[in-house]
Amino acid sequence: MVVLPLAAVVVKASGAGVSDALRSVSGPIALSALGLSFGGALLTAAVNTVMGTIVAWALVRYEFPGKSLMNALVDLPFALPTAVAGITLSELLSPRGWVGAVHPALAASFSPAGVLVAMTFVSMPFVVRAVQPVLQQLEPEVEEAAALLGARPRQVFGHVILPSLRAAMLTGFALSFARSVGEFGSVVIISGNIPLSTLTAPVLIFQRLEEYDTVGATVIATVMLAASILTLAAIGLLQRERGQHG
Amino acid sequence: MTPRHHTQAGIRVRAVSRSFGGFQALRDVDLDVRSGELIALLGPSGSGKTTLLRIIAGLESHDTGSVEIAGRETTGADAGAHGIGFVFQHYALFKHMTVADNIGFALRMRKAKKTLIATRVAELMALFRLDGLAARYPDELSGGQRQRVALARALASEPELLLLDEPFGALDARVRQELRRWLRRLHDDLGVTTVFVTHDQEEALEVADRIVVMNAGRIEQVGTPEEVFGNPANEFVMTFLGNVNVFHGRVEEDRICVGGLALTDPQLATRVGGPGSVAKAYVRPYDIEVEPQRSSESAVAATVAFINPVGSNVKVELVTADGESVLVELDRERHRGLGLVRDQRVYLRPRAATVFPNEGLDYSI
Repeated sequence: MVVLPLAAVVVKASGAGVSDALRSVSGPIALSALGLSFGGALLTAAVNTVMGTIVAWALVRYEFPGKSLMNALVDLPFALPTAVAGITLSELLSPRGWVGAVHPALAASFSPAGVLVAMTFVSMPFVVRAVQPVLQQLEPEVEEAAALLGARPRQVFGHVILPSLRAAMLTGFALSFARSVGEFGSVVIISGNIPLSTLTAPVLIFQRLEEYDTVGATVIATVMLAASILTLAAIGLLQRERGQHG
Repeated sequence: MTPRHHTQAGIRVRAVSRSFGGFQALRDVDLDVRSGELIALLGPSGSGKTTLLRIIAGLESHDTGSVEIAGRETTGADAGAHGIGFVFQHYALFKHMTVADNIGFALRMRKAKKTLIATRVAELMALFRLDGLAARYPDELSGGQRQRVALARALASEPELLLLDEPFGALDARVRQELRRWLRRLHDDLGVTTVFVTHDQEEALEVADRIVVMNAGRIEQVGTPEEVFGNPANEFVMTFLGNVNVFHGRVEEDRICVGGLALTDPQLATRVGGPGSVAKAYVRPYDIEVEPQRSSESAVAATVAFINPVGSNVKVELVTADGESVLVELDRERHRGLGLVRDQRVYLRPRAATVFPNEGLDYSI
């Protein structure tokens, strides 16, 4: 189920001559698209890891009105068709949208910033849902023990809580990254797909296919595949390093 | 072991109450712990013993009253401010840290010099028989080892007070026995004021200098093991510490009659209420004499129902003519001399009994 389609992509791509392949991915348009997809996804995953952990923290540690509603809303980006997310976000961020009208700097539709917003929106739940259960299972005694041993609240967080959440945060980061790299539906709508600016790699693949450039499409796909595997492997190694006791 | 004398602190608890929602966990508790003492808070679950320990530690606030440690008043939840070592029931070790990092935690938080931390950790590892385990993680240790890491971690910064919540609760019986004696020796070596919570009366009697017996949020009695066991303040303490036979009876003139068993004393009626009043007599299993023939008026006939010969004493369960079940403990020699068998008819004669009338006065015959 997983290996077969991946193998097909690689085989198809390897059918292209080396020079053809290089030309497909080394053009400025392709490089820009790959850069936006991977750079944007890394940035998005980093932002989401911080924000998602804060959201999970609020949901686990605090009681506030509307808490269960907020907990349900976390899953909204999962439930929402990505095209709907794309339309909604691009309306909000258009110069005449609720957010975009506040200040021109916030009118992010059709700009790389808009792409980042879309990526962040669709991949936030991964971090929240990875960190939340681990946070719930932290024994309160462990924090009490740290406090009794003289740790101030900030030290308790840095020395005891954060290391316990490390593995879950890395998992959330990896999933968030993977989702952002591959995001198509919402990005294709909000970005306007301007080459060298807002065009992402998945959209580029789609465009190449539209132009019957199957080989070009699969070569870019292969590069994405390799980069994704490398990223996930690096995260896996980080987790293995100290993860088994975390 | 290298003894290291800790500065000692006494504890003074006055009129402390605490409720959780509708549940009154502590009611007007007074307690004095002398510096250097080893004290057990003993009681059934829900008696408030852990709440009291947590209030002393500053992990819990109290609704009313005051708590002083070494003369300084603690004001509610301010854990960490008072130089208190605390061992949690399930140890609460830092799972992502090695044994050495766990033990050195308190010193690291105080920004002690690295060389000092290393020396102190090595010293504690030796004292707590943890040599060779420095690089292990808590989930690679046995229960007894985790317990010792938790103790070493709590003592690393030389606290003036050591508090332990059910320290042996999560261990199996054999390890528990061993650690009990070891805790006693450790306390004698270090001299740090120690309070531990337990629901196991044997543990409290064996280890503590003094025992605080708690029930339903109140302190029932404070005393040495001999005092609380030999001279219990009330029915609760009597029944909670050790096995005891309860005889319900009526006061008649100069004696109390409990199902054929007559406990005689000329002053009894005046002490526990007038003739006809209801009283309960408590008799320890080893305070009952078993005789093959009736030798006195106060002896009662009973039939041997069950004999348990395992242990230092032989435990015999008997049933009186009234159907009351009585537990008797005989030393091995006496048991051999009697040659008891099941269904044998014998006579029971209490040597000592404690009578608690309903008024709450206590009185021993």
